[in-house]
Amino acid sequence: MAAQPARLVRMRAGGEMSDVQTRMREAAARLLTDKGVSLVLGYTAGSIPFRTVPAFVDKPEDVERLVWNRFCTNNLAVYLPRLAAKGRVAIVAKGCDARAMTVLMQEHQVLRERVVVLGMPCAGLVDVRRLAYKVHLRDVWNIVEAEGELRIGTPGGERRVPLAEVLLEECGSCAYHTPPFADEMLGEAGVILPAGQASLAAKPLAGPSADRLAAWQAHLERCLRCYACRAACPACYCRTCFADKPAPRFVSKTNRLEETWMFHAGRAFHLAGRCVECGACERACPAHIPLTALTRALSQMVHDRFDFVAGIDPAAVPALGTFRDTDPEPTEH
Amino acid sequence: MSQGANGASRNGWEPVIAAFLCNWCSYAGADLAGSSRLGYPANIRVVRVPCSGRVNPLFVLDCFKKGFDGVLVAGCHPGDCHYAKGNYYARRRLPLLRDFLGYLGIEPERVRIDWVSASESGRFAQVVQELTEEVRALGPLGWRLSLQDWSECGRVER
Repeated sequence: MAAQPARLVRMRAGGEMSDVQTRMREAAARLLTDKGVSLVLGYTAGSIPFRTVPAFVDKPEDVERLVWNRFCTNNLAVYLPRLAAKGRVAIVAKGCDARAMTVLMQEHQVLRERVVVLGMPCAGLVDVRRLAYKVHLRDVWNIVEAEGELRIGTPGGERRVPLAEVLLEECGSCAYHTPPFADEMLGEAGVILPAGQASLAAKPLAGPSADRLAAWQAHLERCLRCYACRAACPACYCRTCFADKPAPRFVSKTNRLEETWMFHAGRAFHLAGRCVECGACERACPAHIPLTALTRALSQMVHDRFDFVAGIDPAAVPALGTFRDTDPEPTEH
Repeated sequence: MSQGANGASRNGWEPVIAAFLCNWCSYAGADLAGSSRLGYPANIRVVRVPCSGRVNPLFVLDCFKKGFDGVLVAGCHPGDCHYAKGNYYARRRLPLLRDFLGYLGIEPERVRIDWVSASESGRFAQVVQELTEEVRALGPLGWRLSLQDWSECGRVER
């Protein structure tokens, strides 16, 4: 992880600005004023100190709403296919977001010339679920980041929590802190590790098959079929999802375990070679199902078999959209 | 899984295996096996597809969801595909699916992807024989059943 110089960063709405945040607002205002873009897609403060929400800014005077902090977790690329269809859009993009956008470009859902990428130097984001183990979330009045820890103002005084203890798991194994390409980089570039190393730390469930089957069934039993995972995922842009098609009917609407399994297994496989492990699905899930474990395992398999990482080169052909004469034979086990 | 003398399991369970056979090669090979009166286990349920590349991975998942114990996908040998390159796509996506099923807890030995040409009737019989014995040794898929009845429509009858 890139070492951040120690500086005080307030992350409450309307607080003091960090360098990166200032530069981001200036870039957004400039792009909107010069008519370079008609919309800036970014983050704005949520109603509570540890949340941000997506922001859609179309006037230069509104750029003060934009924030950049360790709670900017949404993957904004999910909005691009629709928003970039009509005009140019600037996107405040972390590494994972930009890779998701690149997947959309590979699949011709977004045109490169319609997007202005404002590259953000991400050094990891906070997992609010992990934070909840450290402090009662309702007691959080404000949060300040300093010297590698979060300093949380609560009614009972200040609580200090090391950042490393509350970072998102995906961030801990991320090799793409900064976008693979950007029109403007708004901060010092993060450390980029060679692909295949820390980037794809799959979470295998150890043990015999029967145990793994039971473990996944236990997880999937909690699924409500709310499809929040699908809605949050930039790679899920099909107008009619396979789970909603009546013909052929692959997934029934009944909440039987096998139907839920079919949805998640099918969706994960549809993401093979396309998922960038941003974690938006898992964060969106109200039932806390470890969805990134599924997709990350598959990403590791795609990398091992085809030497392919999703979302690096916008001109690349997706892994399952092509083949080589030298592909291995389907040898037994 | 205990076995009787003729290979059948003691409590009468027989593996049920879906077989996706491509019209031009493996289905013809299976047909030749039949006409030649070669014996092979009757555990497979054949679905004829135009090409192994037609096999949507969702078909394989759907089979396991419905209670099949194994799946066979057999196509033309690489280079001999009737549609030139369908089996190349299958060669990429189906082994990947098999690995993924292994991660989910469905033994990869339950899924066999193989190439059988129209003249290879003996080979077809052999592939089916091998897969049936593998799946028999693995036993039925260990789904934890929901409380509803197995005999609802769409499920494999037992």
